[in-house]
Amino acid sequence: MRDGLVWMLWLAIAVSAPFFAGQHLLYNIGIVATTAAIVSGLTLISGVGGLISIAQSAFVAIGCYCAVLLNLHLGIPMLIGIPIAAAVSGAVGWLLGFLCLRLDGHFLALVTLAFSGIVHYAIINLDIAGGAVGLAVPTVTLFGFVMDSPMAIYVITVVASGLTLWFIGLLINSRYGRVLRALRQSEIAAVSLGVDRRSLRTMALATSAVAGGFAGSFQMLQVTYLDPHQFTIVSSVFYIAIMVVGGMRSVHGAIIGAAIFVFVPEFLSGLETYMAFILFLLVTVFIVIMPDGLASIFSVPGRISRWISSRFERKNKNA
Amino acid sequence: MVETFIQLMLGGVIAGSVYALIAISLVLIHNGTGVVNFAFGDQLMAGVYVLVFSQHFLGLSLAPAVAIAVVVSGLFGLAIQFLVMAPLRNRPVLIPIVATIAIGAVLREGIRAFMGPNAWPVPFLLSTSPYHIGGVSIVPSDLAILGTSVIIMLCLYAFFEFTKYGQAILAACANPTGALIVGIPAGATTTSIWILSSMLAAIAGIVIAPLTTLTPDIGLIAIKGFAAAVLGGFASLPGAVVGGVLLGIIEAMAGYYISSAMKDIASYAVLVAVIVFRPTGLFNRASIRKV
Amino acid sequence: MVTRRDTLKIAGAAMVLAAAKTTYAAENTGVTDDKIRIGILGDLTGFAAIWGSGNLSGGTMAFEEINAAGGINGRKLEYISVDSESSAPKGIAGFKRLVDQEKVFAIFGPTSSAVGVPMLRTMAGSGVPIFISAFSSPLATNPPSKNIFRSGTLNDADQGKILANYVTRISSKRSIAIMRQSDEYGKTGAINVVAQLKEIGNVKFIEEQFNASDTDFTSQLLRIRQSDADVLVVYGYPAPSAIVFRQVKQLSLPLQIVGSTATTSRSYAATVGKEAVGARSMFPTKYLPEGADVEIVKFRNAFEVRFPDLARQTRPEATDQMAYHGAKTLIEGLRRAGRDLTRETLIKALEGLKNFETGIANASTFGPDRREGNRSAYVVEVKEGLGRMILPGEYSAI
Repeated sequence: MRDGLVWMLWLAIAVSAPFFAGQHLLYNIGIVATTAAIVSGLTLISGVGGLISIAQSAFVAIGCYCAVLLNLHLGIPMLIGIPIAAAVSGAVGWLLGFLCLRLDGHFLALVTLAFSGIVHYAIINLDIAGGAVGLAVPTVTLFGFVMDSPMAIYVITVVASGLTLWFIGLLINSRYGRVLRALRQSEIAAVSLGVDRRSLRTMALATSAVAGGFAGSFQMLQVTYLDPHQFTIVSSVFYIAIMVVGGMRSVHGAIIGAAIFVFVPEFLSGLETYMAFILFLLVTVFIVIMPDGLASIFSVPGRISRWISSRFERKNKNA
Repeated sequence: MVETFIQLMLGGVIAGSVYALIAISLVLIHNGTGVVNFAFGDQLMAGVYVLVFSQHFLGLSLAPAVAIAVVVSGLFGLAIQFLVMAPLRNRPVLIPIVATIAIGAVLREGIRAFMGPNAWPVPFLLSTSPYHIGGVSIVPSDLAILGTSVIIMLCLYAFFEFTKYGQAILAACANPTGALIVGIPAGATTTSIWILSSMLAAIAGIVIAPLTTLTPDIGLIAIKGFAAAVLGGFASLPGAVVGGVLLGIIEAMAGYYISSAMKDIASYAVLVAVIVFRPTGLFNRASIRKV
Repeated sequence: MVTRRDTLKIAGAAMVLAAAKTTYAAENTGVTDDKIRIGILGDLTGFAAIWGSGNLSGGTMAFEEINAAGGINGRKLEYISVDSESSAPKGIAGFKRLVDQEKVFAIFGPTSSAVGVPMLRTMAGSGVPIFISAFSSPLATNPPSKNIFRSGTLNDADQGKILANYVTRISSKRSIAIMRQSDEYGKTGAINVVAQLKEIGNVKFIEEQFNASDTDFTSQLLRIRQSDADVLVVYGYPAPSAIVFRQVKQLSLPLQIVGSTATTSRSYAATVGKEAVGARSMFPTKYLPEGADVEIVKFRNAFEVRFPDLARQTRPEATDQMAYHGAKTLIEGLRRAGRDLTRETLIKALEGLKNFETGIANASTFGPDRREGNRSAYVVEVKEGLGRMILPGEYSAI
């Protein structure tokens, strides 16, 4: 029930924004939506599945570049190319999972790290895709209309991200999501009950790749330019940070995390060159006092009292 | 041709010892605490900036400045353990890992703001003038990197093999509960690992920075250290060193015999191949954990 | 009873309705009787902060000085700084914030190609006058957009051309080696060097690449050693370029090094060490920030008083200098636009600038089809003792 209320809140913000927000705020809300949708893929594989993937920006890159190249070279309209691109991204994710998830889940982090590096350097040297210089993203046309006004882009991207978030949310609460969670909490028990660990996790990685490729392609409509610099190992790591800061157990955490990294820097902009220093100091403090993410804010008072009593107990024990 | 090959090997080994210096500490922390330290590159960078600060603004000479850098870095490791890692110790491992990402960003952006985004010159510990031996040029300051990583390796080996304290840490890494039963407190071990690895960060930085130029983004090199650690199996210290040197050599060879554009793709592809086909690293016997 | 489906329907209808809404910006937004609002947009944090912090300090200084001198045509400048965090989406968001929320009249920035190039479509479509002092991608001014001007810096197309001309002249074997960074900066530069070498004709060249975070360049330099090149162009950021400069000497390669403008920070030679002696680099003006030219000395002294915390970081740098020069050029445009200031009159006034001198950087010239203020460069050489000096001769891309 509370989950439904939170969804209503997001929907209300997304729908009312065009009426109260200026272009700047509208753009930021759009960026929060697409970033959250990209991160929601990680929520599935990492937050629910307990595996670490450092490939999310590589999947975003595959999605973006496929969609743009399909448009530039084959003339396929962006809105048709993007789902195809997301499917390609998913297929690559599946292959990656197939290759390394027969092993202990630990290896996923390592393989995806190397994979991120390979994708980045491949793009840089792929002249057909603009190479290191990058590519301008073509505009979207819908029924013959060019959708390049800020408002049109807002509507398109927010609808696409909303669908992604909603789908991942459903998946997390489905039977599939519950088995994935069981696998995280007790691998041995789940496997002994007949869960096919490898195919389940491979599908989770493929799904996260689809989410990254799909939402990432829509984010490119907001950014309007593909620069290989946007798709590095560092950006993959950054997505993980967004997920954890927001809360990694539900897609709401992804939304909150993305909002923090979009709005808090603006709030702190008076600090000029010291802004990022203070921002990440706050993030560190955040993680320590709220390790379950900001989505857990309502349980803070309880946690504080528990912490104090545990300290107290330990002192007594030592004495 | 032979000279070219030797020169390439030398360049690869030097770059590889840079990676190895980083990989050693990453493996140390990972084995001891279960955390992959994404702040390590930035700790390394910050250590050198402490040195530069002591020299330029406090007017100290090199030796005391180095000492201060190592001590400050060690204290910072202590702070990480007490303020961040200890409160997070019972959380899923991803949370302390992300905490290290944030700590790294704090260091990087703090130093960028305070010391400026431009490069600072760092004194070389040895001469940069090369010796030419049979058509191969050998640079003493580069050998310092190789030497340091060998010395650190030997020191760590001696520490863990021959001292009681080192043995205790090893025991606690292998079996925390068992160690606790025989009276080795787990908290003390992780604390000492954080201090030790942070001091190593400063030492590695001071050796590497004159070569690589000191900027706030120098810590990015830790990604290569991470790759080296993976190549070595992410389990043993000797593995980390061999992994680092191997990665350096692969890069140098690929850069020369294939093309400089393919250098990184080739080395990451080797990495993936190693993980997929020999998941415990190149040097350990296969022991895939089965349920 | 409102069902979930109804909620979604209402939501959909509302969004379609909103999509029809558009906003218009006025010609004189941000100008009042006694104030002109200017936005300063640049990367203050993240990897590209070198240029953004220079943009902010140089701009701030010029704006403060003109305010202290009574302002422009009876108006004081009011400036708002926004950080683009070395990120393209943040750059676009920052731009929208300045235009939409802060209602500025003109913008000073952005400061890096990684942020500025993705912003071009947004900037060109807005009609807001944009004045760039820091980044070097040729795409900013070619094709020219009506409202986007740049001064001071040398763009990578012009620089590539000038570099190619220069190295062909000094190469006795007419054989050139190029070491370039693998990213946009090195790639754009190298493309233009190579294009001009082909244009000149009868010049051999070899091209190798490296990453900004690399530490060893033996393999690239040994490949170059196999060629008979006697001049090496290094097109990359300071940190990797410094290692290249040093390793060329350590491997005893008989190459005259010519670096791109990125290899000209004040502490650059010191970071390379004694191996830097004799190396040359492109420099976008004949005035070095540590030099003794009248205006430069005034600027440097004022800078050190105004920003003591930056002065201890060996600033002002070329980035501060270019920004100060750019801001002064923008101020001149505002002055010439007169009391009747609109976006249109500012653009017209800037187009009217011919050889506008500040004594800080190369003179700026704009025109109806020209948006690139500076199109020529000088060569700087590192001397014994690691001091540096501008060599005689100005090299033009036109």
